Amino acid sequence: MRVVRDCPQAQYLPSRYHFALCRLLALAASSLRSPAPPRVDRIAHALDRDQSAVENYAVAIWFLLTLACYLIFLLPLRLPFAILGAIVMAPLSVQIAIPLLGGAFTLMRMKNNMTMVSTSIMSVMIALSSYLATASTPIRLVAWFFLAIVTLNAMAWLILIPLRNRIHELEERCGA
Amino acid sequence: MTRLRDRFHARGVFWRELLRIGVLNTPPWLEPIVIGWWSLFFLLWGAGRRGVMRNLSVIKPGSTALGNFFRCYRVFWNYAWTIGDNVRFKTLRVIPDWEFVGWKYFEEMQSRGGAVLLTAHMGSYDLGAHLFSETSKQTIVMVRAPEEDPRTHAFERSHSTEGLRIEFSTKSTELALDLLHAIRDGGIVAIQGDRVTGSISELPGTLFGAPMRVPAGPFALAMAARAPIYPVFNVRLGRRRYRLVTREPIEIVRTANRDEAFAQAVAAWTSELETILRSCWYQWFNFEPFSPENP
Repeated sequence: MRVVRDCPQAQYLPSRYHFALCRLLALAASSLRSPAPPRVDRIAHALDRDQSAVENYAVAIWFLLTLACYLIFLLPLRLPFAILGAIVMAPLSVQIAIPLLGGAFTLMRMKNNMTMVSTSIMSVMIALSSYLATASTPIRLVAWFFLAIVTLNAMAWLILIPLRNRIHELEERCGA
Repeated sequence: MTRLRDRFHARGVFWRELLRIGVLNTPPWLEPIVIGWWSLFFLLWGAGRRGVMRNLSVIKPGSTALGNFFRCYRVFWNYAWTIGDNVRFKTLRVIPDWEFVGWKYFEEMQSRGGAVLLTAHMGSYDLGAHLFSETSKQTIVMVRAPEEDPRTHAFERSHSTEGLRIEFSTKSTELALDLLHAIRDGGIVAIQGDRVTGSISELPGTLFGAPMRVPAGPFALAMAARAPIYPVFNVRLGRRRYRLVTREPIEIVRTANRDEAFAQAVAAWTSELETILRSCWYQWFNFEPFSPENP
């Protein structure tokens, strides 16, 4: 893993973000503002695509809220009980899905379980959103929002292809 | 039945194995959900929860039990992230961002040849040791208490970080000589000085006005080796973000009155510990009451 030393700008390097949409936003932000000088003696930033706290917390909260909304709609309970059930079941279903999928991919002797689990869970959510987008209740708004974000992410990925050199330049400016 | 209970106890090997599986399979964007859930689950660990809450009631005088319950969740949340980062580093070599405070003392410690690094149950020593290996050629020897459960101990030994020499505080006599040689050869001996476990020798101290016991080893070692003690704290600031705080060294002067010299050094150490704990109480992973007056 690459490490950038004493370069505050490294905090917003697009290579520290996982999703294309976040990388594109980071690229835009890096040309608009420069981070405040650090109030510590020295700093070191790791260049890893999962390094951003804001991105990961935002995606986790968005995913959990979307899943909870879907569960409220799908659970055969009256609304207050469905909400209670969804609050418990949404995080619980994530805990169950990860070892199950991870175990299955391990048995299939796949090497990168994290990517496979991530792709599988996102695929299930896209399929579920596509199904719920056709519903006549307000759940379709949540589903359309989810699909819109996924589409924007795909578009950002395409936009980033010709901008790869610009990202490399930013990294080189930080000495990476 | 006892074997089964030991395996699933909070300090049992089952949770270490599960953590490793979790780290290898959990996508990073799902980590906050997973860690939030498991931190909540571990609030069921009564002994650990009570230990943290009692320590918090001393660190934050006048705090309520309900307030400390929520603070306890924050301690568990930070602990879960820290041990997750530790396993991620050991299995996938993923390192966090670092900030350094007290860099001149950190450099001085590495350049002078031979020192005692006194730290607390904060952050991750594997990550800290990696940082040393990146910035210095000196050897670092970590002294720590062994795991209570033998299978957990064996598991941790088999998954220890390369390049980090870990010694356990149980074999005191031969270990003391080894450590003395290590310091005289220019190495750094890192010891956690905020808790006494088992039958190791101890010194009296005061933390937040409450009596506590600190291990005598690091102070005796520093006196014997004529080496300074550097208080170093590894603080988790946020997701994959740590700060290494190095404080001014504590010198133990050899005088006719050994007890007085030790008392001064212990007072200096507990003062540093108090300063860091006042602002970073949520980082102190001490799951047992530190003071006998606060059982």
